[in-house]
Amino acid sequence: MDHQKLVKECIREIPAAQRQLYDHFAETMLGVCYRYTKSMDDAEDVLQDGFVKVFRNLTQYKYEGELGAWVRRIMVTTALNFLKKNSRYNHEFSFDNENLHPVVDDNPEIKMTGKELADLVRQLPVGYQTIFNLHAVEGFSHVEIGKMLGINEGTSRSQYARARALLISWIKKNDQVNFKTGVYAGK
Amino acid sequence: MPENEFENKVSSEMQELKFKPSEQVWLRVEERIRKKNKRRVVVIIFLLAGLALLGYWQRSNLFGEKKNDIAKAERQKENNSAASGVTNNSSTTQQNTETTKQEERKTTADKNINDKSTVDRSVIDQKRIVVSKNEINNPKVKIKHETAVTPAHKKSKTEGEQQLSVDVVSASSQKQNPVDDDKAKDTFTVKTKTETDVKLDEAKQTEVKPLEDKIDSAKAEMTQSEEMFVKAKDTVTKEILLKDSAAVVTEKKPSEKKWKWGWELTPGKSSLNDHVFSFNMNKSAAPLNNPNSSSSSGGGTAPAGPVASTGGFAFQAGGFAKKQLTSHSSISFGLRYAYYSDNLRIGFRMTPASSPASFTQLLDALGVNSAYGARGYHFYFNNQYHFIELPVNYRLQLNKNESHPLFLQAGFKVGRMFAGKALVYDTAAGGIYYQSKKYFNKTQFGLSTSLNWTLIRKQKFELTLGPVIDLHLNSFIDNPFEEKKHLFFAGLRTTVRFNSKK
Repeated sequence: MDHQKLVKECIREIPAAQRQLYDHFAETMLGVCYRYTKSMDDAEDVLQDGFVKVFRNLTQYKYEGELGAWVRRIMVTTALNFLKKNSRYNHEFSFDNENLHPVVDDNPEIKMTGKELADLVRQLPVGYQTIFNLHAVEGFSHVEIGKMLGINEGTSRSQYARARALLISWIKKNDQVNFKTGVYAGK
Repeated sequence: MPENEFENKVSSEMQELKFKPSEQVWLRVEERIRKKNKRRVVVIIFLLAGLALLGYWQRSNLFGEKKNDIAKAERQKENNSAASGVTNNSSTTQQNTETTKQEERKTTADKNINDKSTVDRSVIDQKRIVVSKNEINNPKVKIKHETAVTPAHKKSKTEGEQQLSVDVVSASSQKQNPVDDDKAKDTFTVKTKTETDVKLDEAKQTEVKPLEDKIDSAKAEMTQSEEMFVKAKDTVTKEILLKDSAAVVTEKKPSEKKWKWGWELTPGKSSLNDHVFSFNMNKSAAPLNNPNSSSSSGGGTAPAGPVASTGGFAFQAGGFAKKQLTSHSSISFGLRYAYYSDNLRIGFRMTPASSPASFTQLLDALGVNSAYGARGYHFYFNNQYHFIELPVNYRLQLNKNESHPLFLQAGFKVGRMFAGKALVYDTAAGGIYYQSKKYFNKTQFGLSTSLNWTLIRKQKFELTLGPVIDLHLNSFIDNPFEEKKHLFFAGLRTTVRFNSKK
């Protein structure tokens, strides 16, 4: 697909092109939104807001990087705004200024699917979930995360470490349960 | 397991995560992006209407100057001649005027008679249109005339048609054709309202009645259509308002929030006019009767009024800082130098050496060394004004073109005149001009509108070009001896904008 041509047509507000752009990215971007929220409805709300921003700001896209990365960045920003503004999330969306970094050396082998892993991440408190997604999945540095969320770099690090530790413990527990119930028996 | 493998594994698994969204998501997205366009159209229409109004007004002001100058000169001549010869020749003038009018009437009649074969079909058609309009506006009112003049050759038509034509023509003929002309008697038939006419009127009414009924029904349909249109308009407006209330604020990218700066240069033309939204330029030519005037004019001669100024060269140059508000709109603050000028066509320069002692006293009282006569039109004097201005502008992108976007800009400015060389009018000594700044409002507030078309747009550089109109809201000259003057400016603006480094 020629993204440049597609973007130009979307800027000219050709409905077919807009639909094509949406169809091309909607499924992947819903996956992104899903990781930051606690329900599919909320994920779809974020997706909707995100695509509105994408179409309104397409003139700002300079064709310098991947269109997908640009759209993903908008989705992530939209998700963060959603978390801050939505009453179901914002009371949990606070970060204590802790500088304790739990040391977890474990690097457990992950035998889970992306969906299972995402569901596990969604079990984390909203703050942990957000920072884990931003650092482990999106690849933002703690400095960048600090700027995005308005927190210290150290807070981001400690929150991430706690989230990671919690997640690893759950993965291990999950592995044991699966081992006992014979989920991995066929492998 | 090596360090970060956990993160890599999680990332690779999660990147693959895909879900199919429900169809409702697209429908809502589509609805919201369409709604935004409607809102933008309303803003654009509003701004363009303002621009059109300013453009129309500016055109009237700038291009109406020369006509006004000529008209003023003619009127001044008339005033002068009237002032000198009113007492001696009033009766003679009346006679002459009457004779002239009679001659004019005769000439008109002759002309009409010479053209009798055509009797101005265009006039007849025009009057028919007027009658039809009258019937539509007030169908109950019948057309009745006491006299009716019609060319003889028209009688060959059918009676109904003829009667309609007769009534229609009468109004114009009464004014244009004097009935006492012999030739006119030969070719025009003058009728008085007799029994025959009454019958004709009745016949006409019978013919006109169905027409009136049709007009009535058409009017009723029009009223219904108008009501339907108003209802539909209300519904659409409500829908737009409802959608607007649910609008979500678009988040700005961090890079867009940065200030950008640039330079602008606007050569153009400035002028002084009577009112902010004045379409009548002749007022400035009429001298005001000011009771406090220091006029020492004698001999009963009316002082020469202030001359109408013509536009002069002007330019604005300065810098600005711009901040992006949304993807299509921005706000800018500037600081610039502005030079405005206008021209006065005035009389000879009068100095104490070349004038009587009384005039020297007058110059001393005014605190000047010389003055110029308001009469004569001997040369142009160039009034010059130097300003420092602080403009604040809102800019909206009108098109979707990325490389050559078109912007509509509207804003407000505050200016302060720091230097100038200008003449002011006084009714003294039969109307004079002298250099002074005492009647100038040095602080000026104004509105500005412009269209900017981007010629070159690169990452760190942007060049735009477009017309600009500046309208000063408060009066620039508050001279008690003439109308208040407002300053106007129209020009072609070139801006060069630089992006700050990311």
